[in-house]
Amino acid sequence: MSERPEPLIGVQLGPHSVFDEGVEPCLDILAKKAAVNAVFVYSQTYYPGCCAG
Amino acid sequence: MRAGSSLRSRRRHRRRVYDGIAFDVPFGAQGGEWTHFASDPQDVRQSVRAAFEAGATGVVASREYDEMRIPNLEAFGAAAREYGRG
Repeated sequence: MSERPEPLIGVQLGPHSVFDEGVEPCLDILAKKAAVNAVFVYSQTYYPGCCAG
Repeated sequence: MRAGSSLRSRRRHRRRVYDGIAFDVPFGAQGGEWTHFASDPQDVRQSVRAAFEAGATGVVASREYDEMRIPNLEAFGAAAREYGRG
């Protein structure tokens, strides 16, 4: 019997979240509370003035 | 869309599908202020469960982290741990 691969448990977040909370605390919250194993970090968005960089 | 229709589509196409589980999404900006609709953790849990029962390869908490409240993140994570292993 083939073992089911680990599912992707993801979340999208903006870089400002990481800057606000710190890299380690942010990732810790996501991993421990939300079981996240994949992070989708966006660098551009449709809100004016919200682009990274 | 019903969970069953999603499952039939996945079986036919044999593709990995990652379901977006949206919660705590703000809406209805008035005067520059958004109304924040706080989702129910039980609804979040049931949505994750439904996604995996329908054959999802994974789930993605949506729309984005800074809108999400801790109780809903915890419900999302608990359901993902419970139902994601299959």
